[in-house]
Amino acid sequence: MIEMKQVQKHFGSLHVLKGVDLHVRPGEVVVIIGPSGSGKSTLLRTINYLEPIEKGEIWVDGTPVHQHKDLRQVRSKVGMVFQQFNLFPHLNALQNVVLAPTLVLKKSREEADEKGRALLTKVGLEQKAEAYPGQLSGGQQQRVAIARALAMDPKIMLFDEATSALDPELVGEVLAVMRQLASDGMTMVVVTHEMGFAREAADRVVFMDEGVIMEEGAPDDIFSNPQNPRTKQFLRRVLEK
Amino acid sequence: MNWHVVWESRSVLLGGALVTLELSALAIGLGTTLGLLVALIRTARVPVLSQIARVYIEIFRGSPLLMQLFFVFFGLPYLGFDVSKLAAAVWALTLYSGAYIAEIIRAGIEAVPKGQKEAAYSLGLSPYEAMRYVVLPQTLTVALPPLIGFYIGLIKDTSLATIIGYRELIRESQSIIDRTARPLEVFTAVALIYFVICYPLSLLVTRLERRVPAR
Ligand SMILES: Nc1ncnc2c1ncn2[C@@H]1O[C@H](COP(=O)(O)OP(=O)(O)O)[C@@H](O)[C@H]1O
Ligand SMILES: [Mg+2]
Repeated sequence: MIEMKQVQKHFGSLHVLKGVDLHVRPGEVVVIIGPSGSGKSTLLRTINYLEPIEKGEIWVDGTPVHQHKDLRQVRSKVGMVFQQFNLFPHLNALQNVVLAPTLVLKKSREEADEKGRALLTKVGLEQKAEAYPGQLSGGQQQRVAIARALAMDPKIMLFDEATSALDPELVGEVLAVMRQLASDGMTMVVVTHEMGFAREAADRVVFMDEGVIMEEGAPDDIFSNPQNPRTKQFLRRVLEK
Repeated sequence: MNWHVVWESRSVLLGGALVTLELSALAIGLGTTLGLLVALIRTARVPVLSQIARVYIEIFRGSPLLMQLFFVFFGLPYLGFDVSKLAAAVWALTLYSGAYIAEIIRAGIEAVPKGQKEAAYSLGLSPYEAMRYVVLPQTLTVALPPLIGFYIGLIKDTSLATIIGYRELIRESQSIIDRTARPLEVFTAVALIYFVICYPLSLLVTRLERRVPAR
């Protein structure tokens, strides 16, 4: 579903991705962990070409993203959920959800609305369809953002620290929606600091540090028996907290 | 005080007021269209065009409107273009306001967080759609109060068109004064007319500024 080969990227003189290989199978849930600044967000953002790459290849569902072709088509197949939600503040929840389906997929208003309301129901917000982002809690906003991404019928969902900006008591409601998606069989790449989520929901955990994948494997192996000293050190630090 | 002269000249004064309104409406409409276009070119960093836009903005913000009026009115005929007084006034006011409005709108566009465009792109929207449906509507809430503030100034600046002999409100009042020798009364009336035109806009700015939604 996603095939990354020797992906390289600089920001100026900063070498952020130093040859990353990542392969994600259909229906797989891959969780990426690693210290802040290690390039996790950048890696995620190369998958839908929010960040162009310099070297290497990225194939998404058979389309060569690195060739900068059919971008719109690739992006409509890949949903993305951001740390800061990035809901459109001038539109209400339902309008946020139906904007892209009506513009990009040319759906009729009725069809898009019906599906939009169904998705808001799925994330537990059928009562909030007419509310504006400013009237919603962080957890509710993030669930609307997930519904908005799902409205495009994506084959892949990317999550970039979707719960990091939330008050602790609101993290659970968003993780619950993500778990549901995972068990529905969605292909997911999730950057998170929620080790509980990684342990339970991931098919594979990838540890990233300084722009390279240091270690990857089944969650049990990574958490109980990490091989790389950097992984050990990182896990000791985050699990202590 | 002799308000009788004002009352007797009411139709001339109102006629002048209508001409001022017409000139203002044309300048606001055309200037905003031009300003939006220039702002989009600048924010999109279109090569060459973007540089031209910058030079244009610097020139028209950096020189007095009066000079611009002279240049258009005397300069265009010199180049072989036949311009009416109205056309000259509209051209000059449009070019002048376009430069300011472009900067107001550009600031509004740049005030929209980067994540908004990224979210739009990640959903498959084209750059045009992202601008039209996501960025510009948010720009409007930020840019509208300064924009209307500028419009108010522009309405008052249309009085400068009197200098090239265009018969707007100030010009008409001048000729009434020449006839009646009652400057104080006539100019009080003129000030009142400007106030009646501009005050509703001032009120609108106050209301909009209270309404800008919290993020
Ligand atoms: N747009 C950018 N311009 C310059 N440097 C950037 C940009 N985005 C990220 N970086 C830098 O690249 C490195 C990796 O960032 P990021 O991918 O966000 O890491 P992570 O998500 O793992 O915390 C960091 O050092 C960050 O400061
Ligand atoms: Mg990050």
